[in-house]
Amino acid sequence: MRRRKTDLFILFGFLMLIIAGTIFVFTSSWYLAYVNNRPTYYFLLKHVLKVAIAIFVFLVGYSLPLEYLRRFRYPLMAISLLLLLAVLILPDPIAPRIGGAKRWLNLGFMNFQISELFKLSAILLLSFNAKHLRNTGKFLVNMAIVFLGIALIAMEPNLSTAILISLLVLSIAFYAGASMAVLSTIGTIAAMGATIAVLVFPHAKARIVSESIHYQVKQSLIGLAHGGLLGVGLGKGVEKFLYLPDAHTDFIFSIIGEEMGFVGAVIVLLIVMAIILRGFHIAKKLHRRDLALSTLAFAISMNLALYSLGHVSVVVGLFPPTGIPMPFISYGGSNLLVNSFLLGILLQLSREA
Amino acid sequence: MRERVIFSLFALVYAIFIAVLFKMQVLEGKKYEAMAMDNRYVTFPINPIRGNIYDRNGKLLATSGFRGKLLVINDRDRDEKEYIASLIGRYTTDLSPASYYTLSAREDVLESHVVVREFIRHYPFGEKTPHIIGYVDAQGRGRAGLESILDSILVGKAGTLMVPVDARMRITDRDFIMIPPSKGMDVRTTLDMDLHTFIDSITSRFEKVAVVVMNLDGEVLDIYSRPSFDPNLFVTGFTTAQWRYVNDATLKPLMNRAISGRYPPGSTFKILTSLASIDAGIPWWRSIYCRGIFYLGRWAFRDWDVHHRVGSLMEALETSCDVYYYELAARMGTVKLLEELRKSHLFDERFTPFPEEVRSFIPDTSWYRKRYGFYSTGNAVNLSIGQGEILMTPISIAMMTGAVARGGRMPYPRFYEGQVISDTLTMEYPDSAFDIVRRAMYLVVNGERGTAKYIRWRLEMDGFGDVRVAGKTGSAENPHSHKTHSLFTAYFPYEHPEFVVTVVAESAGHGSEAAVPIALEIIEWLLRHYF
Repeated sequence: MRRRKTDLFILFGFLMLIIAGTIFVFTSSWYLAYVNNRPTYYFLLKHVLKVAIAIFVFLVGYSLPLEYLRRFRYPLMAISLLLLLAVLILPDPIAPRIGGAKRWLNLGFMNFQISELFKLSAILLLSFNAKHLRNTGKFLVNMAIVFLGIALIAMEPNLSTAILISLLVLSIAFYAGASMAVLSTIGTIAAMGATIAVLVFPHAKARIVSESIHYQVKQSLIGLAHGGLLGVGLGKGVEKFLYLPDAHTDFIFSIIGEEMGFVGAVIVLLIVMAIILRGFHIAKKLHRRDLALSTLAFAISMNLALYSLGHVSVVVGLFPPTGIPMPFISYGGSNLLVNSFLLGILLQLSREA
Repeated sequence: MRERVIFSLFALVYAIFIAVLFKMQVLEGKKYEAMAMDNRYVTFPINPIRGNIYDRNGKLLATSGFRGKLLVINDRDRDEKEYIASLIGRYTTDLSPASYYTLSAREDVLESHVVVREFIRHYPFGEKTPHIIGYVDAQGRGRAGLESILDSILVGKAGTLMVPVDARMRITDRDFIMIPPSKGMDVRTTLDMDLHTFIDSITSRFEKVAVVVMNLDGEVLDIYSRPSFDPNLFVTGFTTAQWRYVNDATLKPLMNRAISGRYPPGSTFKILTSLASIDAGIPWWRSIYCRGIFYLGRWAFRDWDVHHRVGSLMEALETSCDVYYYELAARMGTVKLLEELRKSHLFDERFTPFPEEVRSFIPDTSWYRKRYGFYSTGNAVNLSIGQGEILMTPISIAMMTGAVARGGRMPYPRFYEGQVISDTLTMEYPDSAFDIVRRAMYLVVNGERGTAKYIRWRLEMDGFGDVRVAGKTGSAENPHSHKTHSLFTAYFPYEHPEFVVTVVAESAGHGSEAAVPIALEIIEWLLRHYF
């Protein structure tokens, strides 16, 4: 029997990122908690609770037989689509409206973002259907299911997530070997859809053309520049003093850049990048043996790549400010839980490879 | 194949992002740094600490005290303003000492205000502070006197307090960044504050007095002007009554009478007329018979007394015989007299660095012509005894006295250590003229008929019998009062002159009535303290 080796790098990378995340959630959020008359560790405690759950979920992902996942892919997709529909329809106490958008389901201890669950189901669905994707008919059926969900996400509205999941889905299909002609057609339609959606949803248009958002980006850039090469020191940054809104979520990377400097920011990026490259490596190794598992490893890595690059794009001002969390680091539960579960699966796959 | 495309694309994008971060954080970091600092701190200037001003013996004339102040970080914080008002009675940013201690004890709970100590000018002598010290305004900049002319070296450098705040102007960190203010340079003046308080005590029965005391090197020991004001009020603020007082049109407490007050010099001017006549070649030994009146054509000029026989110019100065000087002026004529008087150079320049000093005034023929349409010998006759249009400041009378004592040259007055004086008053009269006038001034005090022989008498009584004083009295008629201004200017000791004392008491009577006794007290004080 072949000796199965767990990829320790993924394990330690995961731990390093969630520890760094915990630290930076605290330094970027204590003042916000303080001025809202909460104890300074208010956000830290909530985050630590979610990190505990995330580690549990990570272990579940690591140990759950892949066969269960394969069998469960259709019910999961069905549940996701139903819940996506539900958050649009259900009243506020169950599906709260936050900042004008209905994206969450109230679980009591946290608000869960259904689009993350949908992302998980989309990855599982497309990965385990990978070998069917070369068949144009079956490919189109899969795409129809997935893009139905994406359309629902766009209606929440949550355009940035819809765009990121679209990119993820298209790259999975590309990796699995879908026909280039069909793929590019769908890609073009999706791009046109996205453009129309941006023009239709007033808040999205405002994000792109408005002046006020420039304040947020400017503060983020000032923070990065303030950090310089080596940073101003942990906890010594000033952006968190309400200059940079959403410092602990959408702009946490800016806080890292300010307090730890270019060096700290690049170290975080390199850890993420290393995990992604390990994932690609696993995907490549599994490619010959099992296309489904290979595609799964690829999809998980690609998910991390798109989200981390998306987050950094916003922080450096290449993309309009929108809620793209930094995987494993940003405050916020749903993304952390789903990513941890996916990374657990990737760790399991590393043993298969 | 496909995985390679995606993997390399991914690696490329990652590399680009790291490059972008490098550019923003390291290469362009400085560009955003200033923006960042503007954002994060509210900065307040902190008053510099002004240099002290001392008298010649090291007594503090001007120093720095402090007062509490509230710096407002967020003006819209109504709750905190109410809280502050509840603690100290009413909301104000200038704090009384009690309010300062009340608030600084609660400093840590204030979110929109910072309690600081601010240095402010303090004049320990209050109302007795000499006028030439001047005062500073509420912003701490010198506005008059030495405070004004030495402002640049006294002022020091303002500091900066940087209070870190969040985007909603709340203080984020109690460790403020402080660039401390630096202290200006101290100035040591030539003034003697003991002398000043002494003069203040002996002049208290007069309303308006100016005194100049200087040594013959030009060092000013005191410049005294009454009435005075409290310069502290310019820093702490006036009440309505105080404001009305300092702006009183007749009292003019802000005016330094010794350098800004112009008075007809009266008989003290005969010193200059004497010098002028000797220089013009009129024999000083000529004697006249004074009947107490002098006729020039249809006009009669009265003397203040009937002097009978006046044996010489010296006797004329001793007895202050007007008729003798009327005759001198009539012989010289207006043009010649004015020409000779100008050789004194007393009317050309100002003697002190203070902008508030005014020049003494002597008319010339064109001025007469413009004013009256003509001039005549009558003008000269009037001028010869220091009446008419001539106006002199007490400092210029003192300079005249000093120049006579020193044989024609007197350095400009010096007020503080390190003051660069390059100018010397030079009177263009022959040495013999000064010898004669000095002798005459000696007789004014020591002669049988001298108008200031009270001084001789008192010095002998008080045990200073060996000290000889030379001087000249003056009683100047003036439009402000039926009583004359009382003037006396003197130098002493006669043999080796060291000090000049000039006293002007407004509307106080004859020279011998008010100014002479004051000068005597000052001379005795100087004898007790400087000999």
